[in-house]
Amino acid sequence: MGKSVWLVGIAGDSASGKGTLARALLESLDGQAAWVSLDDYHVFDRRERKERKITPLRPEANHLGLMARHYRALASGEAVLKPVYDHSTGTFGRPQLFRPPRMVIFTGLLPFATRELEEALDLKVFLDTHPELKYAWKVARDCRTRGYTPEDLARDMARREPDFTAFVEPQRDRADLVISQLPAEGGVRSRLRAVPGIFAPVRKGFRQGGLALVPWGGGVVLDADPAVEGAWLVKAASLLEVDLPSPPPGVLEGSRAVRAILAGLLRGWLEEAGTREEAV
Amino acid sequence: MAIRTLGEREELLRELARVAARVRYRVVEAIGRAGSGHPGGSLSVVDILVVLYFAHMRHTPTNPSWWARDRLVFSKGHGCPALYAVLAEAGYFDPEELATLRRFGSRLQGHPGMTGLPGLEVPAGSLGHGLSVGAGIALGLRLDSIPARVYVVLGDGELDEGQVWEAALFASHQRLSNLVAIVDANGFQLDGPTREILDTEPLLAKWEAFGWEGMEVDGHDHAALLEALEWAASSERAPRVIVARTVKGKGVSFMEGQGAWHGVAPKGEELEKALEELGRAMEVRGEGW
Repeated sequence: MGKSVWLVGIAGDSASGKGTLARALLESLDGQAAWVSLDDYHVFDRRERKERKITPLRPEANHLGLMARHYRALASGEAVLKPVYDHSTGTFGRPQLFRPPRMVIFTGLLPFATRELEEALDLKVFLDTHPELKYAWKVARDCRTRGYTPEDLARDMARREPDFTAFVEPQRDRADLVISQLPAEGGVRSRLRAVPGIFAPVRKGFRQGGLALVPWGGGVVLDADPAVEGAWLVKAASLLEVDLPSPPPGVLEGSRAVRAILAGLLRGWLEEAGTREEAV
Repeated sequence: MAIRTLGEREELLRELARVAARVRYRVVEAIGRAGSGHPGGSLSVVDILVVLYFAHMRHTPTNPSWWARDRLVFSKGHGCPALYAVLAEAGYFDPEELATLRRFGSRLQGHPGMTGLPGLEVPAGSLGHGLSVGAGIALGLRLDSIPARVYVVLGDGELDEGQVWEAALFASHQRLSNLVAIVDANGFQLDGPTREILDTEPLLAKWEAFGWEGMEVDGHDHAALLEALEWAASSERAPRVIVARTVKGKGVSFMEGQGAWHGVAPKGEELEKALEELGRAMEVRGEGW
């Protein structure tokens, strides 16, 4: 039957921008993808974590085995009963039956923390966000919608740090794409690093908002819109590295550019799969 | 699942039908492999359990002992292959473990024991105890101010046991509005039709006389079960009961309505035919195998 559903995992710390990226990808994939937050696979609710003094970053605080089973079922197009964790109350809700569309985007702390998980994913993305940005984003979100105070968060983040280093960060080395986000004057500076081969399935160049990604010499070139001077490019090196500094006029700002590249890659996969299906 | 639109509800019902078809296949496959078991009462209770676990109860496969979960007490223990298959489908353990049904050392015994199986709340087998246990849990939850519900699944043959009615009296006396009983009324017990062995009809009127609020539904109609459960879970004063009229052996043509399939495993050609029928039902519902 072949590949029926594509799975993408986006790893990153709390408030590293996973949701923002996932939402942007969903939007540009026109209803062909669904987004699942792996926080739904937490083992303990907020009260239990507090009693046990355990952070949600630890493997034993997440049901990685059920995640792996669900990855495999979803990849073959089967529906699963997905647990539901409600961030607004910090408890579990009624689980929901979930039938996958053609692509599922998972975001979470440990989406490819084990080999079993890693093997089930078609693309692994790691969001490497500078602590300064994470803190600012976390305060902006959690104090407003999740009922935390800034003091809670400061304490929380300090406590999480060792677990982040031990369990979340190692996923960076196993990722196909690493998106770094650094504080920069007036905003965020983004940087994209990809292992070779990731962009290989793309035969044609595709465009999104002034950027074109074109295969070139076994690698890929990230090109600014031809109308804009000073194209960015990537050499076909062992690693694809794109530095996206303050954007040239008329071109997307860095983090939006990264989103556009990723969306372009995923759209390319879906289009190719579509062509294959028609051929059969 | 909060149902907002007709489309969504239809989608949910389609999914429930797919899950139920898969569960039925797994039940017969496991009993066939074990070479013994109770297919009739396992197949009659499938839809009740599927709707409970996949569309109604608040439960947590990631944390089976979560303090605020809804509890299910499965009193008709011999129907446990259905419960095991539903728990596996719901994510409590790997469905591959179903192949160990009734084996020595397996967590999946012919009557559920406390073998460490995730999601199993209480042991069962000797009939008539579940409602007493469920009432106790419901009272405990109320005393601890935990906003969870208790669902007790009983067989109709099991209602011959006097203890069930003592528990029914206790529950209404205590006004256990967080307790729901569901009777899988398939009309048969080991020795024959329930009406001939010890007639408990009219069933609903009896429960009502014992202080319960109740309704009767087609126990294979997912939409009706879903509505009945939503009604039962909205009680404020009294425990509620759902009398679910079911067909013993539902889903396998030669077992349907046949009391003889109460406690006999299909073998050889019978097993093949049953699995073929159930496999076809899965295809009709769009589920590749």
